[in-house]
Amino acid sequence: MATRLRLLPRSLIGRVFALYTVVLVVFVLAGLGLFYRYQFGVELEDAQLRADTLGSVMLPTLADSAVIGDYDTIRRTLERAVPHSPFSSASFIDLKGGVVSAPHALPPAVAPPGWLLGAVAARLYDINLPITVGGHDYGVMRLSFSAERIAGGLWEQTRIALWLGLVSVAGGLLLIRWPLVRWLGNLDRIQAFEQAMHSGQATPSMLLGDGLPSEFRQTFEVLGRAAESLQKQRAQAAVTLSAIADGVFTLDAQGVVVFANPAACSMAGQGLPEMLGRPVAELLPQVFEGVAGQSAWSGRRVTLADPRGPVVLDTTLTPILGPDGILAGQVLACRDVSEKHALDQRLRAELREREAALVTLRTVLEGLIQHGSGGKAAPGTDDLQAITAMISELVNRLQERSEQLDAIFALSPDGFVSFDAERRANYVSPAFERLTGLSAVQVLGAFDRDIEAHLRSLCAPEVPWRSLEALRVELREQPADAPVQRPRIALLRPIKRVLEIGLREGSTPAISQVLSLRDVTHETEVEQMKSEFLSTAAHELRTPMASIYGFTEAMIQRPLRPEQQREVMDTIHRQTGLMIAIVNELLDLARIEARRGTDFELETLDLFEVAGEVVRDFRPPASRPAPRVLPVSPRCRVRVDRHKLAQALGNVLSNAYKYSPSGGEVQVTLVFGRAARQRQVGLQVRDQGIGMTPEQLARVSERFYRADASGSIPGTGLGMSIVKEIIELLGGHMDLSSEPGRGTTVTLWLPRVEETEANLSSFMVLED
Amino acid sequence: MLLFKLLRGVAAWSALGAFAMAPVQAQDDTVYRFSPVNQYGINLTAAYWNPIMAHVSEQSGVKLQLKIGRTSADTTAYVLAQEVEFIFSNHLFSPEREQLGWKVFGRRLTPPVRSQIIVPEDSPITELAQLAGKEMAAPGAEALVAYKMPAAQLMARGIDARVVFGGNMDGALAQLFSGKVAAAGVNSQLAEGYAKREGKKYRVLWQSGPLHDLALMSSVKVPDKVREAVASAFVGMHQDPKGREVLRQASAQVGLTTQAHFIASDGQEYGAYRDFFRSAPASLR
Repeated sequence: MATRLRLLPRSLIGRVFALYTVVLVVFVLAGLGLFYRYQFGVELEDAQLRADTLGSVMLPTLADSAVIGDYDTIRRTLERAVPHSPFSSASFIDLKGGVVSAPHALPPAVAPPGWLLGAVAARLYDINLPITVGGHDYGVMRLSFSAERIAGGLWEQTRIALWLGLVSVAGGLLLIRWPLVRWLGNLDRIQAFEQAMHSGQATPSMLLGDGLPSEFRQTFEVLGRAAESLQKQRAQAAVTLSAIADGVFTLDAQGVVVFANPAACSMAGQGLPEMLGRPVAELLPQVFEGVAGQSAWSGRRVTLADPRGPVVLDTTLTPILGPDGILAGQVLACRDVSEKHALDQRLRAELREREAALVTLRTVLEGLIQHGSGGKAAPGTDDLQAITAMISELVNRLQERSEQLDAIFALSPDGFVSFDAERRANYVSPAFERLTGLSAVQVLGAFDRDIEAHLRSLCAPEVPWRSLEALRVELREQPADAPVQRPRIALLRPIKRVLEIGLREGSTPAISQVLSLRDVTHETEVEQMKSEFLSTAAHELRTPMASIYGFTEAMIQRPLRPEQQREVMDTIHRQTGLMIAIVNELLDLARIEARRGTDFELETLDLFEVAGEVVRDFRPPASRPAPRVLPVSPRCRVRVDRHKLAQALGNVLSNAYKYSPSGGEVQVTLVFGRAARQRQVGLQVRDQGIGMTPEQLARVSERFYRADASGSIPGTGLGMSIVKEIIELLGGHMDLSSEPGRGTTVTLWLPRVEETEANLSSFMVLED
Repeated sequence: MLLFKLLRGVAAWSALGAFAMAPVQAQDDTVYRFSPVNQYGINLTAAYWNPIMAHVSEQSGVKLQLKIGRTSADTTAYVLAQEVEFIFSNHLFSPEREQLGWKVFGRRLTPPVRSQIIVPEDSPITELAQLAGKEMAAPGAEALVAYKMPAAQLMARGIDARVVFGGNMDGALAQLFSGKVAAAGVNSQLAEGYAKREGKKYRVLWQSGPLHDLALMSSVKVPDKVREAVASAFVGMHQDPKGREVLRQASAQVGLTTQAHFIASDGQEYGAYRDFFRSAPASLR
């Protein structure tokens, strides 16, 4: 295909002309060929027909002449037939082999070529007509075709046709050549237009003119518009290139400068006219140092020596490829990055310093991590990554620590408030809010003096306490190992409390001091109860001892009569017994409290049987009936210390008789709990004594409390305390109900064992 | 087609060469000219006879040269002009031509041939009388079976039909099936072969009694030894495997039965031909 294309003329006119020539020649030759083929067939057929006709015309004459033997007539007939015929000869051959022949010796006007002569000769056959008359044969008339004459005639016609064809082709070519050159010659305007474009003088009207074919006119109009647009773009590009700070060199395929913008001229230190046509490698040798050939690159940084100082350029060489992929030119773009380069250098230096700092920080953090848990960042990891990991770990640890502290402070019964350097509260624990009733919103951000004022407003004004400032001063002045004296404050609101104040100064700027509050209400009450108990016990012991002391002193100072002495001794004995009883019960109570039931000998017993035994052993006061035990079914088993339970029941029975001086029956029975007390059984004692008011009833279990304020009813005031302690140590509890003047009911509830639902259905007495 | 052109050229140039040659002087170097009646057209006739000539020449040692005329009259003309020594024809059984001295030494054994007048199968003509005033094609004026016998039949019935000659049998049949003529006088054997080759169908309006196929004849100038050699080669051809294959292929080309072969004959079997000439109108003799 490429070879065929190379054979084509280069110009459009040449190609159109060649195409026309080929087409014309082909058509002329095809026409001649068809003409020849047609003429050849027609000529031969015509010759054959003429021969047949001539033969049929001549045959009767020859037959008649042959019958009579007139060979002369035969000769004349043959000779008249041959001229102006396609035959080379006409012959008569008789049966004896005699031949009368009339040859046609004239050669054809035009000698035919051999191939045509052969083709004609191969298609023609002699005409042989037997001359038969009445069934008798007289000879044969033979007409032999002159292939040379027929072929000569054909060839002459063919030559004329060829000549006419050549004339037609030549005339056609000449006629087509003139308009072809005239019309297609308009394409030459494009070359002139291109030159005008190079000089910037091109206008679309240059391409237009009179007589242009419509296709050319449209094409030239499009070209003109495209060229105009291109010129505008070039002008815009030139202005743009002049305006930008980057240097742009436009090069041809050999690297020769064809255009350079002002910035490029400045970088090269030469004017545009001096640079045009010179290799850029000669103008900027530093740019092309170490570069092989004209290979493209991007972002290549070079430094130019300049009298004003080194100029650092970022250079990019971009190839311009034609549609066929062949290098058509190049663009060298140079950007002055001197300032950026300097900044880069500074930035790199700073980066190095920061990297060193990071290494140091990493070392420090690794030390912290190792100190904390022995962990260490994986060796070889990036410093920043390692530092991030370590900081994350530290943050996690701090968070854990913070959560631990929050939990500790949340669970601590003591309240804390921490203050910052300005002594503003920056943390308040939940216990502080609970103890003081102050919310975190009220406390956080408040100065310590404001919080102190809040606390003072909650306290009883008659109880003074030292200020926080005084505490700070005291804290600073006393030795470090000196015991800390914590002042106490008594809050009236939100509830009465006794709080112990502590103040400790911090060692960090974030925590300047910590104020702590400890609830010592219980300790205070216990101390008060102990004091009251001692006072009561001393008071209870002092009464009989004073009696004993007075009677013994009287006996020492003056002799008594025997009956008086006996009365005094009885009194001393009774008072001494009372003292012993008080001391024994105190010892019992102290032992019970100290051992908390560890000395109990627990066994599973039938509660009804135990109650019966205690009732039987109980000695009621004289003239009083024994307690009546009410029968009960079913029985119930409990796990108790037999002696302690008997002691408790004895105390209750004793009180029942003592506080019913007017008599009345004391009943003992078992009761079974319901609902929440379903698994409990109660040992109930009911008297018909003086009864108690609700206030008295509430203090029955207090030690040394006695409902009888008159002192006519003997007792230590410790019995019910002992009962309460024993029952509670046995896993039960005591219920009291009483009405003044109608009696008291005491129920000792104990947990049951081995009970069944069937048994529960037949309870006799049920209580809630 | 290319082969036919080549063969035609060979035959033509061979004929031209024969004219230029000197008279036969001796058996060894004498070339004897053999002219069969052109039954199928020059190309097909040459294609049929050339391999047979080659075989017979090889077997007999007699150099035979094929000489084919354009029409059936050409073979008769060659005989009358004494330009051939052997012929394959049935044109020489008239009393006058038998006096020329030609001798039958063999004939082609095929199913009997008949003289017929035929029309295309779709032709409206169903009787000979309908041919009155119409044209009938025939190979040529010398064709005995395909022209003279049908023409004699038409004359005998008083039917005035105009006869058009096609040069040979295929030319006449081409005129018939192209619609140029209404009927054709044919040799039944040649008409069947043509119909088989060309895929044509026809109806027979009239036919003669059975006739023998054409005869192999030699000139009186041919030495007996030569004639016997040639006759032996023809007659023994179907008994020789090679000759049988030549016959089979040649017969297949012209539409003959593959069983067709040559047998010896003394000319006595052609009484039907001789009878025709005795009773034929004078214009057809």
